[in-house]
Amino acid sequence: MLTEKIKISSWQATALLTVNIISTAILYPPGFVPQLAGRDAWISFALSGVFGLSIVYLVVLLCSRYPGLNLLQIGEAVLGRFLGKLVGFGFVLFFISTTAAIILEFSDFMVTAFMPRTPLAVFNILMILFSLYAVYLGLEVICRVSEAAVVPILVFFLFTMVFMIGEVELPSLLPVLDAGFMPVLRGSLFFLSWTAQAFLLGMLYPYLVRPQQAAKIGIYAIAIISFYMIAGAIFLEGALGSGQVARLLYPLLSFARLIKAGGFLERLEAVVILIWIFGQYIKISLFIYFSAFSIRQVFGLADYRTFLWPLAALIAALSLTIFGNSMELENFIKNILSPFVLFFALIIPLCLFGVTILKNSVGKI
Amino acid sequence: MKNLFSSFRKGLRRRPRKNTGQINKLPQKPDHPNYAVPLSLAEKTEIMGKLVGHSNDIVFRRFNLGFTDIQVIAVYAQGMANSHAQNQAIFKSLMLYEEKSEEVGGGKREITGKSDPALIYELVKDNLIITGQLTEHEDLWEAAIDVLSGDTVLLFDGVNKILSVRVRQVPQKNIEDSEREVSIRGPQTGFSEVLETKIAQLRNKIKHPALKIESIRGGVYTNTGVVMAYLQGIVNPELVEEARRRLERVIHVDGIWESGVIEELIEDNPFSPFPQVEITERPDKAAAQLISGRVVIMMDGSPNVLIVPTIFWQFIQASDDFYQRLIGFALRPARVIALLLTLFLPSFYVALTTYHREMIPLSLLMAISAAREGVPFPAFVEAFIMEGIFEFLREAGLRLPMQIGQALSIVGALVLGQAAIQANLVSPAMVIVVATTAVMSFMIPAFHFSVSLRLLRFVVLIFAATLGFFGMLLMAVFLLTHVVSLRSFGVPYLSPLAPLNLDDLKDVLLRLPVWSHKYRPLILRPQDIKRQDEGLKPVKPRPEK
Repeated sequence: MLTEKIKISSWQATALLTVNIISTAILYPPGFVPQLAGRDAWISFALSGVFGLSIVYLVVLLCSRYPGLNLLQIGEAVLGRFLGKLVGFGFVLFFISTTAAIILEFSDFMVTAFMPRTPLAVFNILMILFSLYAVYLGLEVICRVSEAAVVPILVFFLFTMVFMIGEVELPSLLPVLDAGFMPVLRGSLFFLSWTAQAFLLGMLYPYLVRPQQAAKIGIYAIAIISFYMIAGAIFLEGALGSGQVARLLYPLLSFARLIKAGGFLERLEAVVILIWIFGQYIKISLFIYFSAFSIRQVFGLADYRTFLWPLAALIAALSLTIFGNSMELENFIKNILSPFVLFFALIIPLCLFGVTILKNSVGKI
Repeated sequence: MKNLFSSFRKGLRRRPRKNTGQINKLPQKPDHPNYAVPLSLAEKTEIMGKLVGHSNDIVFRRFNLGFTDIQVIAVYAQGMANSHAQNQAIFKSLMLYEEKSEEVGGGKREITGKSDPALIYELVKDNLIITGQLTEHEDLWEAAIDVLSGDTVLLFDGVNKILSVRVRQVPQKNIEDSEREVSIRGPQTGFSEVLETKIAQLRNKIKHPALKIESIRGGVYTNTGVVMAYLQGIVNPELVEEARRRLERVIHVDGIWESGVIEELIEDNPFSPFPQVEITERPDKAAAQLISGRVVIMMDGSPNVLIVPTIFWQFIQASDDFYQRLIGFALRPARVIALLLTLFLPSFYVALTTYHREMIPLSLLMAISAAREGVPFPAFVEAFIMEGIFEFLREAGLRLPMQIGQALSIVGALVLGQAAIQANLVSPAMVIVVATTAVMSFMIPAFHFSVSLRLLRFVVLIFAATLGFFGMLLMAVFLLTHVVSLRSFGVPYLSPLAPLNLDDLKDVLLRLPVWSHKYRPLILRPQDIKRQDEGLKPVKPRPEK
C-alpha cells in the first residue's frame, strides 16, 4: 500500500534540513571559518544564520505564491518553457556536481582520519550503493530515516561537547572584533554556503502537509544548526585557541580525540564517526534523489527510478575525477563553493521572485 | 537439426500437464461451487457418497422415523462424533418417535407414513432434534464438510434441505499455561488449539457486543477454520476491509497447519527479514490489542494467533510491562539497548580490535592483546566461529528432550567454552562478547523477532570485519532505512518514532502509567480515538482540616 503521493510533516522537513546541513557543516567549517575570522568565528556563524534566515524567507515567499509547485516548476511557470528548462538544467548540474563533491568530502575524510590505506573508491562506491537503496525507496523514506536519526545525532554531538566543558576557557574569546568587521563578514559569507542550503525547502514545499509552517521549518532548522555551530566554535576556541583550530583540518575530530572522561571513556571518535556516517548517508541520498528528481522534471520523464543506475555510475565517476586531490577539494570549498551555492540558492530565487512581481505589476497596468 | 532445437526449446518451456487421471478429479469447492440438494433420498445419498468418498470411516446409517416407514439417513464420520450426544440428540429421539398427533401452533399436525415430506422435515427440525447446535444446508458440499468435521448430517426424502447436527468431538488438550510467553504477574493461561475454545477465551476477556467474529475456511484441502476478530466501532473499518481482502488468499492456499502459513500470505513485505505480524498465545495480549484497535486472526489447530497491524516496538514489549507498576518504564529502554547490542556488539568488538585499536584505552588494549596472545585466528574468524557454534548449540538444544538437553549444555559450556580457551583456540574476551550477546538476545521477548536479529548479526559482522566502523555503521543505517520503509497493513513499521507521533510514544520507548493513556494508538487511525476518561489519576488523600 505504498502511496504515490508524498507527504512530509513539518517535523520531518525540519529534521531533514537539519541533518542535511549539519552533517557536512561539522566537517570543514569549524576549521576554515577561524582561518578567516580568527577568534570571532562564532560571530560569523551567527551572522550567516541570519543570512540563511533571509534566504528561507525569500524561498517561502516565492513558493507560497505558487502552491503545489517546486522550485524547478516555478522556474518554468515564471520564465516560460525554454528559460525554465535552462534553469532546471542548471539545477541538474548543480545537484549532480554537489553530490559528487559531498561524496568525495566524505570519503576523503574517512581516508585521512581513519583508514589511510583504503582506496577512496571503496568509500565512494559503497556509499553510493547504499544510498541508492534509500533513493529508490523515495523521499518519504529519506525523511523518515532523517527524523529517526536526527535526535541521536544532535544528542551525541551535545554529548561530546559536554565532556569538554571543563577545558573551555572563555576569556580566550576576548577581545571581540579585534581585527574589525570584515574578517567576520568573510567568514560568515563562507559559511553561508551551508545555511543557504535551506533553500532546499523550495524543493520540499509542495509535499509539506502544512505549507503554512514552511517558514517555521526553515527557522527551526537554521536555529538548531546555528546553535550547534556557535557552541562548537566557542568550545573549540575556548579549548584549543583559534590559532590551533585554524591549523586543523577536522577540528571537531581532534576535539573528540582529546576527550577523557571518567578515566575510561577516551577518544569518542566512534561517536563522531556515527554522526558523520548517518548524516552523510542521509545527505548523499537526498542529493542523489534531488539529482534524479530534477532530471525527471527537466526531461519530463515518468519515473526517476528508471535511470538511477546510470546516474549513480555518473556520480561515482564524477566523485573520483572531479577533484584531483584533497587540496583541490579544499580549494573548491574555500573559494568556489560559496558563490556556486549562492547562485542557485539566492540569485535564482531572487530573479524568479523579481520576475513574478514584475509580471504581476505589468499585468495590472 | 532445426527440429532438435525447437523440441529442445519446447522442453525448456515446460508446459503444465493437463490433468487426465481419475485421481486428480477430486471434488473441490472453488471449481464446483454448486452442489444443490436434489429432492430424492437416493440421489442425495449417491452425491453424498461421492463427496465424502467411500472411506471406511464414513457411516451411512439408514433408519426409520419412529415406527413409520419414513426413511432417514444419518451420515457421520466414525470416531469424530461424540456418540453419547449423538444418541441423545438424534437417534434416541428420532427412532423412538411415537406416531401421534402433535399440537403445533394451535393447529393439528399429524405425521404418518403418508404425510408431506416437508412437514416431516419441519417436525424433525423443530421438535425432535434435542440440541441447540443445528444448521440447515442447501448445499451438499457444505454438508459434506460438516460430516468431515465430525458432525452428523441427516438426509430426508423429498426436501431439498439438509440438517446438520453439531455433535463433533474435537480431540482437545486441556487449556495449558502459556509456556513460550511467560508472565510473572499476568494471567497464566494460554490459548487452546481448538478454534471455538479460543473464541470463547477471547469473549471471556471482552464481554462486549462490539467484539465481532468473522470466519472463513482456509486451505483447499484442509478446510481449516480461520477467524478474524475485531472490535466494531473501535477498529478502523478500512483495516478490517484490508484484512478481509488479504485473508482471501488463505482460502486458495493448499493447506494450513500453522498460523505461520497465514502470516506469510498476509504480510506486506515478504522478503524482509523482519516479522511484520505479531504472534501471541496469550488471550490477554490478544484482547489488549483488540482494544487498541487491531485485528486478531486465529486458526483452528494452533495456539498462536496473529495480530495486525504490527509495529517494530511490539516485539520488545512483554505482557508484564503492562501489569507491574512502572516496570515497563525502566525495562523498555533496557530492551532497546539489548536489541542494539544483539545486533552490533560482536561487530563492534571485531571492528575495534581489528581496525581501530587506537580508540581503545591503553590498559584495556593491553588486557585484550594479552588475552589474544597465541590465538591463531583473526578476530573476525574467531567471532564468526564462536557465534556460529553458539547458534548451533541453541538450535540443537531447542528440539531436544529435557534429559539430553542437559548433556548438551555440559558439552556446550565445558567442552566448547572452557576447553577452547585453554587450548588457546579462542580468547576469553571473545567468549565474554559472545556470551553477552547471547544474554542480550534472550532479553527480547518475541522469539521470531530475535531470530531475525541473530541472522542479521552475522551480516553486520561481515561488514564490520571488512570495513571496520564504516562497514558496521553503513549496515546500521541501511537496516534503519529498510525498517523505516516497511509497512504492516499500511502502518509504518517504525512509527510512532518515524513518522513521529508524540502521543503514541508514551507507550513505546517508555511505558507511562495506565491513567496517562488518553488515546488509543493514533497510528492505527481507530474509529474511536478516545481510550478512557480523563481524571483517572489517583489523588493523594489530604487530611481534612
